[in-house]
Amino acid sequence: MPSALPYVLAAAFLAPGILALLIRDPRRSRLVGFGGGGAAAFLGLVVTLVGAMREVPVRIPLPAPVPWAASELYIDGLSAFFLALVFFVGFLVSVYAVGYMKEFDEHRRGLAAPLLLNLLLLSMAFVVSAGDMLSFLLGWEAMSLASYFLVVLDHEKREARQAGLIYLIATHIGTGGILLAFLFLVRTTGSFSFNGFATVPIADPSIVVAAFGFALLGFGTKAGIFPFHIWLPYAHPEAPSPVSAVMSGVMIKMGIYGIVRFLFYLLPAPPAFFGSILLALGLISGLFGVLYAIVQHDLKRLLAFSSIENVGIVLIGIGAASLCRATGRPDAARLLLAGGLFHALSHAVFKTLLFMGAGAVIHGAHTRNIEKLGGLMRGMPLTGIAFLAGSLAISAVPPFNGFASEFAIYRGLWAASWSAGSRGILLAAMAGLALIGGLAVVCFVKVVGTVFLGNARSAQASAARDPSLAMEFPMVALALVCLGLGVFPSLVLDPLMSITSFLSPAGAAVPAPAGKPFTVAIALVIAIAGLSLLRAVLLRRNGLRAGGTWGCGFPYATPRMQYTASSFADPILHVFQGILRPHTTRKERLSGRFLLEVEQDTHFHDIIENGLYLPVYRLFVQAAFQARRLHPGYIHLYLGYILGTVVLLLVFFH
Amino acid sequence: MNTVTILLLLLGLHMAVTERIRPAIRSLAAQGILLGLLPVLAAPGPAWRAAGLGLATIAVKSVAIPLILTRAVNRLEIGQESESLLSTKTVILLTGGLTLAAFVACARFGLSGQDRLGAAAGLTLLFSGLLMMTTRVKAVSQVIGFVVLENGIFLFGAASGSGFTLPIELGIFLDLFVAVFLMGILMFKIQRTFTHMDVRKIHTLKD
Repeated sequence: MPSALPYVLAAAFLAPGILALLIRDPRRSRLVGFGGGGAAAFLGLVVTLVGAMREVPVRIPLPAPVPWAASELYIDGLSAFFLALVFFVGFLVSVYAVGYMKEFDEHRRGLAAPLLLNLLLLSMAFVVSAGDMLSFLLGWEAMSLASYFLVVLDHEKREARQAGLIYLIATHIGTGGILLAFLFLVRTTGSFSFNGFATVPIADPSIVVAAFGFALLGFGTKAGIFPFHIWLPYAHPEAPSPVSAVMSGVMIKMGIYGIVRFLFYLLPAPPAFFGSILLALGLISGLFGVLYAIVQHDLKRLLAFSSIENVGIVLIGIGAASLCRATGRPDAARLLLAGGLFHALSHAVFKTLLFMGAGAVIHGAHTRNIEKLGGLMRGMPLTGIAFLAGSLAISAVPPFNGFASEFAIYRGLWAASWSAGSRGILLAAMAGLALIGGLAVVCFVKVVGTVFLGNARSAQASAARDPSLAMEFPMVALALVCLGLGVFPSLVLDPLMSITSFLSPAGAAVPAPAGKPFTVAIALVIAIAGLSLLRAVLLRRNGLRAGGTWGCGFPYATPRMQYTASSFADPILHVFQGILRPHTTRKERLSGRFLLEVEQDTHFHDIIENGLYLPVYRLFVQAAFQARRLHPGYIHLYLGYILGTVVLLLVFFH
Repeated sequence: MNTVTILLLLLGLHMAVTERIRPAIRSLAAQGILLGLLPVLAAPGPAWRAAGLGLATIAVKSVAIPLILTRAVNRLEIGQESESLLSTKTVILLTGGLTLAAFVACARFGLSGQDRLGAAAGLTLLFSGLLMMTTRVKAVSQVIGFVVLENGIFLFGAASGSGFTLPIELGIFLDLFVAVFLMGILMFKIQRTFTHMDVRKIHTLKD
C-alpha cells in the first residue's frame, strides 16, 4: 500500500468539509460536505477491503509528533476489520445526512456539521490504525472533540448543552484512564509503539492489573459499559440522528476495539480473572441496558439504552474469549472473540439502521415521544419495514445478522463450558444472554407495536410521510445487509476466524456455526415466503372484509384506547420492580363523587446515576464551595498563605 | 562580618515591629549600606567586582528605593502610622517565633560559623519581610516588606556559600528597582482611585 494513501484519504475527508463552510446555499453545502465525506468513506472502504485481502499487516511511518518517539500506522487484521466498519457506516450515514440535515438549514445552524462529521469519521479511522500510543491518543481526542461538537449542534436547547457537558466530562475521564494505562506500559517496556509493548514481557503482575484497570475505565467509558454508561442515554438522544447513528453504531465500538487491542495484543498473558470481570460486566450491562430500554418513552433514549445492552453482549463474547484463552481453551477463545467482534459489526449495522429510522420518524412526526406516535407503517411504509428488519435483527431473530452473531457466541460458550474450571460462569453467561435476548424482543415488540402499528396518537403522527431518497437508500441498504449477513454469516465470520487465529497457534478452532449459506436461515426465509404466499392465495380466494373495531361497549373507539408503550412495558416492570424502581405520581381531579381527570406519571431514574455519580458530584460541589472561602479577596490573607508556605517548606521539608 | 550580619538582623527586627513609616525607611536605607559592605568584606573574587557590586547595592537599596518611598510618603500625605492588623505585642511574638524557625531551619543546611549566622539572619529577614507584607495595612509598608524580603535573600545567598555572581546580582537589582518603581506608581493610582491606601479594602474588587 503506498504511503501517500493516508494523506489522500485525510484530504478527501477534510476538503469537502471545509468547502461546505464556504458555500452559501445550505442545500448545496450539505450536498458537497456530506456527499464528499460519503465518497471519501466509500473510497476508504474499497481500499481497506482490497488492501486487507492482499497484504496484512501494513506499516506506514508517519512524521513523529515529538522527537523522542516514532509514529506509525500499523494496520493488521483487527484494524482492517474496524476500518471497514468505520468506512461502511460512515458512507451510509453521510448519504443519510445529506437528506436529514435539512432540519438544520434554518439560520445555517448545521454549517459546521459536515466538517465535524467527516473529522469524526477520519479520526476514528486514525484511532484503529494507529500503531503507537501518541497517534492513538491524538486520534482519540480528535474523535471525542468532534463528537462533542456534534452533540451540541443543537446548542439552543438546554438539554443538548447539558448532555454535551456530561459527555465531555465522561470522555475526558475516559481519556485520562487510557493515558494512565498506556503510561504504565511505557514505563515498564520503555517503548511507545504497540509492537514494542507486546514484545517486552512485563514481570510485575500488579502493573498488568493496574494497566488493565485503567484501560477498562477509559475504554469502558467510551463503549458505554455499565457502570460507566451514564453519558450515553443523554448524548445519543440529543445529537442529530445521523450523529447518533455514527456514535452508537461506530464510535462506542472504538471502546470495544481498545479493549480487544489491549487485552489480546498489548498485555502479555493476562490472567483469567480479567476475562471473568469482563464477562460479569458484560452480563450486567446487557441486563441493565435492556431493562432500562424497555421502560423508556423517548425513542432515541430507548435506542441508547439498547446500545448499552448490545455492548454488554459483545463484552460477553470478548470476556469469555479471554477467560478461555487463559484456561487452556484457545480453540473456543477463537470463536468467542470472532463472535464478539461479529456482534460488534451486527450492532453497528442494525443500530445505525434503527437510529436512521428514528431520525426518519422525527423528521416526519417531529416528536421522539413513543406515546405520541403510532400507525406510522401506513404513512411511511418503507421506513417501517426497514425499522422492522432492524428490530428483528436486534432481537436476535433468525434469519437476521443479530441472530447469527449471538449464535456464534452461544456456540463458543457451549463448547467451552464442556471443559472443567470455569464452567459455572460460562453457563451463567449463556443463561444471561438468553434472558437479555428475550427482553430485547419485548423491548422492540413494544417499539414497533406502538410506533408503527395501531392508530396514530397525534395529528403529527398521522401526517408523517416517508422521507426523501437520500434518507431511504441507506436504511434499505442496511436492512438488506442485516438480512444478508444473517443468511451468509460466513462472509464475516471466516475473515474474523482468520484474524483471531493468533489465539491458537496449533490452528485448532471450534467451527463457526454456519454452513456456506446458513441453512436454518434459508429454511426460514423459504418458510416465511411460503406462508405469505399461502396468505395471499387464501385472501384472493375468500376476499377481504373491512369492519369496525369492537369498541368494548363504548360508542366509539379513540386512538387513546390503544395499548400504550407503558402497557407493553408493564409486565416486565412488575417482575423487575426491585431493579427499575419506578417513581409514580398520581393526580386526580374530582367533582363531587365523579372522577374528572387522572394524571399519572411514572419516572425511572438510573440507579447508578442517582446512587453513585450524583453523590460524588454533590461532594465535589460542596468541596468547591468550601474551597471558595479560602480566597475571599483579602490580599493580606494571600500574603499570609505565602508566608506560611515558605516557613513550612523551609522548616519541615529540607 | 558577624557584626554586619547582626546589625542587619537588628535593623530588620526594628522594621518588623515599628509602627512608624519614616524610621522604617531610614532603617531600610541603613540595611542597604550594610549589604553593600558585605561583598567587600566576604567575597573571594577580585576587588573591583566586589566594589562594583557593593556600590550598585548601595545605589539601589540605600539611595534609590528609600528616595522613591520617601517621596511617596510625602506626596500621598499618609501620616506616620503604617497601621498593623495585629497589635505590636503579637507582632513581636510572631517575629520572635519566625526568628526561631529560621534558626531551626538553618541548622539543617550543614553550614558552620559565620555562614550559619548569616544564613539564619537572611531567613529571618525573609520571614519578617513577608510578615510585614502580610500584616501591614498601608501599601507603602508592603513595599518596605518586599525590599526587606529581598535583602534577606541577598544575605542568605551571600552566607550559603554560593557567593556573588555579578550578572545575576545586577539582574536582581534591576528587577527589584523596577518592582519598587512600579509599586510606587501603583500606589499613586490606588490613592487616586480609592482616595485611601488601605489594602484591606481592595477585596471589594473581587467579583
